[in-house]
Amino acid sequence: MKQNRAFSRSFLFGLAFAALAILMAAPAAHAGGPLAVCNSGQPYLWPGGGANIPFNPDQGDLGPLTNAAAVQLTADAFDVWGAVSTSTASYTNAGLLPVDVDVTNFSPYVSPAAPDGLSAIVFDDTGEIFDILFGPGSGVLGFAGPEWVNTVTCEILEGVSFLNGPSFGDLTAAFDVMVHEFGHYSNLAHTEVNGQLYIGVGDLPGPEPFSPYPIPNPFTEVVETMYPFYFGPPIGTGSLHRDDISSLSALYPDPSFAASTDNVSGTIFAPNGTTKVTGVNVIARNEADPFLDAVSAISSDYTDNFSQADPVTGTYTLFGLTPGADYRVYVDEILAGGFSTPPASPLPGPEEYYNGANESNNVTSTDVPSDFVFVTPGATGVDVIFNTPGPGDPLNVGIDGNVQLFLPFSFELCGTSYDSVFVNANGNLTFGVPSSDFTESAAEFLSGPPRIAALWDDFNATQGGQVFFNQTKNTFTVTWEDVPEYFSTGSNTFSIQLRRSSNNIDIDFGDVSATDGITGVSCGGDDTSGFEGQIDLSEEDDRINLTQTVAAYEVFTSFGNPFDLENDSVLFNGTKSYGDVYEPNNTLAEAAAISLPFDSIPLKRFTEITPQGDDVDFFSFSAEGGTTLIAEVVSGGLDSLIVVTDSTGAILAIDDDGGAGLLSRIVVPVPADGTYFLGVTTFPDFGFTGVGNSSGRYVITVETIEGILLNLGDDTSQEVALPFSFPFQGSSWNSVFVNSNGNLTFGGGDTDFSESESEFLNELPRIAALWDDLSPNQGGLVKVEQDASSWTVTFDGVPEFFAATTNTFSVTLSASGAISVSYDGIASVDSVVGITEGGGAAAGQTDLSAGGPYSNSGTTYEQFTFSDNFDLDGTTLDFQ
Amino acid sequence: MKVRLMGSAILALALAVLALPAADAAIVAKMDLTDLTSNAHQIFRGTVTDVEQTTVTVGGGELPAVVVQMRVADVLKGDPGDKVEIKMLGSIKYTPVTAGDAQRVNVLPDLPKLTVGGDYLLFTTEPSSLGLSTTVGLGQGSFRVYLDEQQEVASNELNNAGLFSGPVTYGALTAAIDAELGN
Repeated sequence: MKQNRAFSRSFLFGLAFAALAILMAAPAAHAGGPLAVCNSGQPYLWPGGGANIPFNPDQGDLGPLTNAAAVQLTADAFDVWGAVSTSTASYTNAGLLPVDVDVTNFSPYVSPAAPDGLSAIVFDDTGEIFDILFGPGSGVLGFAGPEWVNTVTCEILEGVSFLNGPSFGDLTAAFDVMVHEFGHYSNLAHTEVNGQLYIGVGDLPGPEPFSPYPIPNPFTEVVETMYPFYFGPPIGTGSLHRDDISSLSALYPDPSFAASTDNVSGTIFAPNGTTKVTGVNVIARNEADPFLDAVSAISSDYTDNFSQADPVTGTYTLFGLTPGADYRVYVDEILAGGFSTPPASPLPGPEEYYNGANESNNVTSTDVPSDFVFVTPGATGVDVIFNTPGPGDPLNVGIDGNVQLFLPFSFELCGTSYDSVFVNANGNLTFGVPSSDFTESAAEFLSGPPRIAALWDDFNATQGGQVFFNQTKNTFTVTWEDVPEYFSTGSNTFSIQLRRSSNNIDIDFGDVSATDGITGVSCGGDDTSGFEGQIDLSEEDDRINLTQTVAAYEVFTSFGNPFDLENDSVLFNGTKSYGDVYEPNNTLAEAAAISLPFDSIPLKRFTEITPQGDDVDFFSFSAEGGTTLIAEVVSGGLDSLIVVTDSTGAILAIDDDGGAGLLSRIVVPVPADGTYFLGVTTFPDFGFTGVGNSSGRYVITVETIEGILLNLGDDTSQEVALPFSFPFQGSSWNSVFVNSNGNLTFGGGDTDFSESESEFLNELPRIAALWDDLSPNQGGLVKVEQDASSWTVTFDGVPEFFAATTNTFSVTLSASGAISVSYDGIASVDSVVGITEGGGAAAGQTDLSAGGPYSNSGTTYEQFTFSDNFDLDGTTLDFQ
Repeated sequence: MKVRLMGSAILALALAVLALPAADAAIVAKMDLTDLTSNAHQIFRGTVTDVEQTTVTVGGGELPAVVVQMRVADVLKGDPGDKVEIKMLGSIKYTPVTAGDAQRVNVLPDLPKLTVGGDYLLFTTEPSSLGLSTTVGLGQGSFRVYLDEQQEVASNELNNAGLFSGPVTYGALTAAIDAELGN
């Protein structure tokens, strides 16, 4: 049971003052090191060793401060960093900005088009800039950082800071905020040494659960300036901690830094002893002064390239330590705050001390987390290897948790070689990332990480049984033995075995009480189309051939399709690598010819953008003039960009995000019979040369339709002209409003998604074919076809709001006034169906399944509910 | 042949709001539930239905903004209606801004991490004259609502640090908010 007790303000902060927090860490930020990195191991730096770093204060006041006072406070805050004797960084007021920056002219300072030679410290005197950008009461007090960098010289060219004046009622807090922000301005990232002990996440000053030192209270002097959260005065960030001093000195070192301090460096390894781990906080505490003489770093904080090939990946350096002192060095999990050296979560093993020559994964030799050796500054190769359970040991997967295990051999799945696997509590293995999801679904099975599911369901090994692994030279087996479903229902035994070389997968079941879940193998979202259907695994007597599919699975449900593999086995052969079958199609001249309608759902029509930044796909096809072309990227994890051109290359339409999410969709009339081209790339490659910034498999559909496509969104309405005057409810109508929620209204549109009998009777004249919460923007289409005497709107494959099932129906209006409503596949169960004059029509439902025809005037309707389901599918309602 | 199936739409919609690569750091007031509640113009629960990139013209220039559409399911403060549109400063797309060898580093604060299809309880600021707003305290006022151990729980982007001891049941969160509001 998760705790849900609210903290009082005093519990968290200990003092009844308004607390502040420094939340922001941008993706390029690096905790415990530089904020912005130029090349691996090389941070961006202010030139000249940081001597005379310029800043240009605003001309205006800053809340309660006059301009003179604000400029002085700014200089004083910079001088806190400038006073670090072991650093060459110093700061110079390079003169006031040319204007008083306010809400009318601030944009060039926050989003300049080019370097302007100014490093603005903007004083938002009235708070209007912050209010207009974030709305009043956002709590944003300021932001800062390097603004322009030179990517060749790796120098910082300009910095910027915006400060929210009215928030500075307390000058001490204002000063603290400035000092923190100007650390960022100097290119320092967030860091974590002591602050996490106080923020309310239950951290300890040693590897959990060890707490070798009493935590200081009050902690006035021990919280580092660059900790992501600010506790407010008097826990000020205006005075620097040793960690802050060391971080600045590492970037801009004075010779005295090397002379008076020393470093400790090493690499953080996964339990296999070879895989380098990014995002692990490493803390060194001087045994004689464990809170003030303490320094941290995060593995990989001096690189943006976290690949195993990068020599900086996994490494850390603890700068500015006391020579000759005894330090305990340990790995610590970051629990809260913004860090963009992506924190490792969960850690690949428990937190632990560095243990010298005994450092191991605790399987090959003993290395319990609490064992340590003192480290003396100057030491290199202070490498920490995370611990791992041994074969047969119970795996601590907890409730919905996971354990990363390293394999005795490389296992290839879907073209990728893995040296580790995540054992997830809920009956499955994933590759690359863990999964805590206990609500299995086919959509997640296909779109998530590569997964092998013996029985993906909600299990709870904390209430019985155990999860363990065994391995040989050629096999690796994970077993769930007598594990109940959550919370403690039944008992389930099954295993997954991975085989060397063949990459075969064997799933064996013992006694299983669960009746629902998913069994199978999925290559995950990088390879699946999202359209792969399930199979009856009980019918598969031989190994299932995964070289012909990217997902083979069955979804079991307690009532419709209960689990039927108890004491049985499901065997899969190895998978293969998949690739774009249309390459090379990187130019119009190389365009792959396709016939419409086309979709790239099957593996034999596999389409993908890869490698990232160097691929664009072109297709050619013939289309008939007068039709409407629909080209859409319907699935993929990329940010697609598509274009349609004629045979000369002239652009007919281009689209970035017209589809779902960041996917693309083009609907364009085909001007004439002929050959056309479709180009697919990724944002921002508007030149279609292949230099986009995302990649992966995508599924595209291309088709032409007769008629006019309506562009209906979720809860929208579109007025459409009729080719004749349509007599309805005593009036003649020259147009009709097509509402996305499955109905037509006259005289006005209606976006109401919550249908009701009273609204039906009391509002506009309406023809409700299927008035329900439909979302044409999430799938399907709505089109109109017409001639001189009839007009038909068709909802084709339109889902309900965020539903996986669809609805197809049409309404035909005739010049005579006749109305025909046809249903051809309805998943909705609740709706209002019928016609009404509205405006207070009399209530009285009709059983429409009894047959018609019905009158085309007045009110005839039926309301379907979750207890009285829609029953008209496959029928036609005629109103004459 | 029709090939639109809802499964693919769900996959495509499961896109998070991406943050600009940036090297800035913002400083934001740490707020307790009283602060969040009192500073919020509206407090509501809803499902994100769409996220689109746009721009706003302000202060003598153009800045990126993101429009988040939500279907509202539960209202605790204010009157957002059945559907609400939140326009926030920021970007879901990264386009490098360069000038010769120089490259601009984004200094604007991060957007709250809202995913299409995701269920959230948001404390939002009053829209500015440009229509821009955000969640109060940035990630502090953005609670993801999800199922855990068969019950609905909520957690903000700080894992509720300073508010609760980790994720809290949705019912407990709304009860605490109602208590703050005197409901």
